[in-house]
Amino acid sequence: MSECMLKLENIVAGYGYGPDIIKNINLELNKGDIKCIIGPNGAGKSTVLKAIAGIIIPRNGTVSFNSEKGNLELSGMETYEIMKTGLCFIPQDRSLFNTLTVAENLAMAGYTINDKQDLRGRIDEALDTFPRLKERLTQYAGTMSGGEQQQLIFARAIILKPRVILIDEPSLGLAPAIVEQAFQHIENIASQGVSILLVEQNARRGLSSSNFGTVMDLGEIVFEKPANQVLSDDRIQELYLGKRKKK
Amino acid sequence: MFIIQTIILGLCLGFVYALMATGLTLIFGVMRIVNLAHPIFILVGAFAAYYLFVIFGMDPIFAIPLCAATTAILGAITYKLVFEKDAGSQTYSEMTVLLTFGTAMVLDGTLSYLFKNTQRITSPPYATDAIFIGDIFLPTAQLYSGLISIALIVGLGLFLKFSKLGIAIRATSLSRVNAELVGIDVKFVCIFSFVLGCALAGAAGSLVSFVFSFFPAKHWEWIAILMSLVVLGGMGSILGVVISAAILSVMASLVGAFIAPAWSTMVFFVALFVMLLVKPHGMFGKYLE
Repeated sequence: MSECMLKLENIVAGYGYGPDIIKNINLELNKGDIKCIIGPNGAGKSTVLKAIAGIIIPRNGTVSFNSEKGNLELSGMETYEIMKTGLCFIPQDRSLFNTLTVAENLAMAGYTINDKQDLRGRIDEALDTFPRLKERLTQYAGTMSGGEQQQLIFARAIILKPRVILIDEPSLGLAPAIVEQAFQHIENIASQGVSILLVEQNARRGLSSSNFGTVMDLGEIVFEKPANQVLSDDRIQELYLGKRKKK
Repeated sequence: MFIIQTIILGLCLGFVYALMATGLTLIFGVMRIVNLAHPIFILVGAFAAYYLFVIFGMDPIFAIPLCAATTAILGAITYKLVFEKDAGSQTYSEMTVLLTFGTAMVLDGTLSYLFKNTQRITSPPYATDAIFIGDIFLPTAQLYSGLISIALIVGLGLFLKFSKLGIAIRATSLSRVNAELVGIDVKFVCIFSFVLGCALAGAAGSLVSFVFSFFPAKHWEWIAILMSLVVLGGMGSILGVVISAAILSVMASLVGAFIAPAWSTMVFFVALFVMLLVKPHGMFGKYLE
């Protein structure tokens, strides 16, 4: 049994004074695993990630994260504090600063690293992984192509050497070839022992890169299985083809 | 020669206006606060400079750090009392228009009560002096204040461009959520920017105190001009403010010199009117989501 990096217990969350969007979510993520959350629109997939990252504060339940400094309870912490603990969140609407240069974006990714030498080294490492960015350092991030922006996003993520990365819809709005690259990056990062929790609308693509699939509907987890067995489950047909049984 | 002189003086005045408006545009850019109280902070700085000069004989130029500190402290208190609670709410910008208007009224009332609404001007020796370069006549007050203003703005620009905190301020102004996601303490960046903006107001106040005569209600005049500069430059853009202030001030000076001084203020509002028709988000502005 490998080490558990992130554990959600009975998480309930919603927006503002609105109803609960996710109810009693229990989820575990082990070291080096890629877990993909799939489900129809409005199932609450992204909300799970936002609740972990502290963008919305869970109304109930606990999120425990196995950080470098031991087990941490994340629920109730501010987002910027959570991001210092070794957890990284890549939201679906691209998190780049469009009118900052590539170099400035990279520097900001390492905002929490105070040792300049260390930061310099980490940025160089990230640039070696994504050499394309080296030629673009003085360019504004927003003027790069979709694929290059994608590279910058992953470069920023690895600068922090996170233990867990949450990724919301990596394929959204990207050309098929670039989606392929994005999943390649995700698999590479995971192969270095980083755990990844992924939300993906394109279930087939998402699952083919993952070890585990978690299926959500109406704010709850329906079932969880090894990724290659998820799509053959009968319940998938019901969810995606609308043959939902009335309870 | 007269034209060159008018242009140089207009430019100097423009830089002073630019310094007066940079704090306003910085605070709007980072925090989405439309700070109608900004000019009253400038006045507080001016009063501080005036009394430091009258009581201690302190030169207003050397008093800049003290004036900036005064308004910075006042800004921090105001922020804690008035703005912190609702930061991040959806209608924050709209709300801050009312909150800052109220703050301006309160401070205006306090200043009027303390100092009465009489015209004042600080009069260090250089305030009435002038230098001649050939036929060009340059009053030193305008010249010094313009040069110091542009130096302060350049300093601010370098800070925002190269320092880590400066980049974090720009990142926060682009997106609060994304800034938090890289671990920036957005609350700290906000209060820092607000206090920095107020300190700039104080510094501007100290320069203004020997260039314009002032009285507590003067800020209502300024807010109109400063807001038009901020909108023209593109809300939140410091470069935009500097350029629009420089161009408009020169134009205002020319209008004042060749048509009639009474018409010179018109330039700002005509330019604002035209800009809103042609390019509503200003010279360097971005569409706000």
